[in-house]
Amino acid sequence: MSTDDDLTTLLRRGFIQAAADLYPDPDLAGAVRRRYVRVRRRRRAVAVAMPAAALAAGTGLALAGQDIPGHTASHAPGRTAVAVPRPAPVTQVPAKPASYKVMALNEHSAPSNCPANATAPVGKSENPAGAWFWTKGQCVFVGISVADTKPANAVPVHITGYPGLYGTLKNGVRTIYAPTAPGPYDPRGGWVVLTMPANAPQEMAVRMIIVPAN
Amino acid sequence: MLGSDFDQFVRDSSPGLLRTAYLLTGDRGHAEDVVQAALLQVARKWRRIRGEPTPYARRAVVNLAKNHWRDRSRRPRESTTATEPCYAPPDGDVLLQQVLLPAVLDLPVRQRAVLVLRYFQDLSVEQTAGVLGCSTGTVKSQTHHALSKLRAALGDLADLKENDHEH
Repeated sequence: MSTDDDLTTLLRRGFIQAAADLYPDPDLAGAVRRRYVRVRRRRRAVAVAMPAAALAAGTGLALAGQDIPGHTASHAPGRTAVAVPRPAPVTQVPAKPASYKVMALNEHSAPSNCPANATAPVGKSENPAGAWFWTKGQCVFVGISVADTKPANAVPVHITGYPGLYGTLKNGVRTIYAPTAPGPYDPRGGWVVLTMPANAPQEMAVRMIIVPAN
Repeated sequence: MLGSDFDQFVRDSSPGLLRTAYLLTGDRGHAEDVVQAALLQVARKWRRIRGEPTPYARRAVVNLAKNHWRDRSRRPRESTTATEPCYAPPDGDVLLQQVLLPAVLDLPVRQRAVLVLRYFQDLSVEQTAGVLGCSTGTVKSQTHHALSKLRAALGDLADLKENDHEH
């Protein structure tokens, strides 16, 4: 075996000969298709079986600072008051509604919004309730609250992978409304409300703070 | 849902993917499993894949085959008679059958993947690096190490033959 070329020529010949008699199952595409359908069905079944209760009950609380030492988590007022009559939703819920929950942020900062000495790119804020994150050298604060309905003038917000979002833009403040699934404390469901400056990257904020729940 | 374009893609690409998986795993059954799992991954991202899907499928095959080898090396041997992976014997070519191809299966899986991608799939260094998710320098060094080991294996055979002649 004098050169690498001789060796690689022999290798090519060996590979071709060793694999020459291999042919895939003629119904391989059908087999893959059937497995694909099974996987999709299983995923749907899991999504339906997941109780939406925890999602609705937990909405807005993940960032309320329960992980912060010395901080008492403050539940959003009105979310558990089922006795209060509620106005009907302004808009109809789609046939298969999208649902979101607030992402639990592991990295958080106890004291204030957008701390100058932050060690994490994203964090929770206690008061006002919300989250901050750094982008392009600037700190963006996003207020997080909940609402029973969204305003009638809210328009659909199109973010890939996040259907069913609505938003408003008024007086330099952008507000995003993300629907939440009904739960035992909130039989009709509601909305997670993200509030941020108009020039804040809304898509980044949505992707960092809320996650699809179904 | 998947359209007829996916079926066409499977028909066109599956022979090459199956042979690649076979050369990586050394076992026809595992190769078929690997290809089906890789195509399932492609199916799940079919609508989101931009451009040619073959590189994506090829990468899935290589990664799944690597996982297969990793799992296999972690599993305890169930029996001393368990069959080792081996390629089907090429007709009449003793050098390939007894030395070179077994030596390929003895290589670390990454070096084997480099050889299969470069000398069976005829991918360039850059394309191979893209499939393996490493730098072109790594591909070159892995190729060098793999060929050195194969050359050593062939050298051992030459030594044996010389010894046979002397006796």
